[in-house]
Amino acid sequence: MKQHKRWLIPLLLVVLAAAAAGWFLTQRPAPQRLDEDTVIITVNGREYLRVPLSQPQTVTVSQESGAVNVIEITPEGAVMKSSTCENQLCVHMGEVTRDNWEWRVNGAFIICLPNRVTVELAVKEE
Amino acid sequence: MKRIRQAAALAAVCCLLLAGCSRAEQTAQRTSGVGFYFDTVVTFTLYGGEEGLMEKLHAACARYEGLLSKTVSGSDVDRINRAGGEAVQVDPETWAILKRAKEISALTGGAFSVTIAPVSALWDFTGGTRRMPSEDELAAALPLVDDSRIILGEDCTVTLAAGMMIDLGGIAKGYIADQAAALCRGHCNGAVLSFGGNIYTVGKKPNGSGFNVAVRDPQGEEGSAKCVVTVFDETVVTSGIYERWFEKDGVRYHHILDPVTGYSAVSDLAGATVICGDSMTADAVATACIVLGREKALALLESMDLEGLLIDRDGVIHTTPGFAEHWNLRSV
Repeated sequence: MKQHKRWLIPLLLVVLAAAAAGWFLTQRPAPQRLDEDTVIITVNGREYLRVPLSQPQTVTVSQESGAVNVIEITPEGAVMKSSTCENQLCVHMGEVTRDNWEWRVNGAFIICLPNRVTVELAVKEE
Repeated sequence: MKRIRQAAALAAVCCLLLAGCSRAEQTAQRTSGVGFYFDTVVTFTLYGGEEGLMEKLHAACARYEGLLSKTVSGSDVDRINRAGGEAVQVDPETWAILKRAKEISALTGGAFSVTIAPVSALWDFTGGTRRMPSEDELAAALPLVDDSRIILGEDCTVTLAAGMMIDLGGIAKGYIADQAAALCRGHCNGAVLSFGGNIYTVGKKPNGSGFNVAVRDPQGEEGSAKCVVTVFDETVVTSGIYERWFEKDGVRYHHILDPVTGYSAVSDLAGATVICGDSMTADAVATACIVLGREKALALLESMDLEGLLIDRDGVIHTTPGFAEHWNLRSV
């Protein structure tokens, strides 16, 4: 009986260690794993800034070309307050919020095509 | 021995639990990407996407833009348009797209035509000049619009008569959406791939439900939705007269040109949405519907075994007979 117990503990440890190693190995990098709803701003397709909704603020994106976009982040979402683009479509896209992102034509995105700026509300989904 | 078996069973349960946690997290893991191709913004949202999938999607878009854009120097389309009547060797994919374009053009009675390019070149819907063609210019360009005259030779050659040109803007995004969806299948749990008016959804959302896709209200403000449809593994393609337009002398001109008149289509439709598993076909057919008008568009959709919804200029929604069997429309 005692002999069995001596084998049991190392065996358990080895199997648990193998299970834990397997678990860690299957974890892929999660660049956008979200702890909370977050606004992701991109410029020219590259991520520029990430702001959780818990930190409402106004973000100004100024580019070397002279293009300027002002984005207001509220506790509920984000809106393009102003843009130097000609067509002003992004300003007219309205606010993207936790409540409306699934019902908008552009989904979770506000897009300024001329200035190549996007604002995405990344909602934490279960 | 019994205790060893018990220990092994306990360890196995631990393994399963840990593996289960891992899979659940991967299902919910969300990544998004933005790119600028084909003069529009492309967005990808992936749930549980394999490592490298996002990069593959962007690489595919860049490759297809290099092949299919009429404004990229040296692209297949650019070389075809500059060939001056000579045969041009193209990529097999370009050849296949042109083959399908010819088929759809025939099915739509020419309402969809990639050879509209000499006419569309006479208009400026995006540059701010509000240029529109004279009657003489249109009279010279319209005889060049005829997809049946695209000669597709063996070994992937394409020949156009001198003066003819093609523009794949009405079909290429659909083709690329199909290819992007194929890249995603089996390599993520769910995806929403957006190419302007072309949306392709793959799989399911993390909670197992379908994806909600909003259909643009043609008469509404920029980005406003007319209705929402929930889809699984399907493409939703919408064309409308609101996309690119200008007003001149009190008349509104939009970018969907009637290949017969060379002017903006004046049918009773303001928007057309096609839902199916083939984004390339949906892309071309949605455009053709706007040109054809409600009655002919519904007949075309039925003849091609496609489902869709049409929004007329009074804002009334008309659906194909089988639409309600597949999807519920929700007002916004």
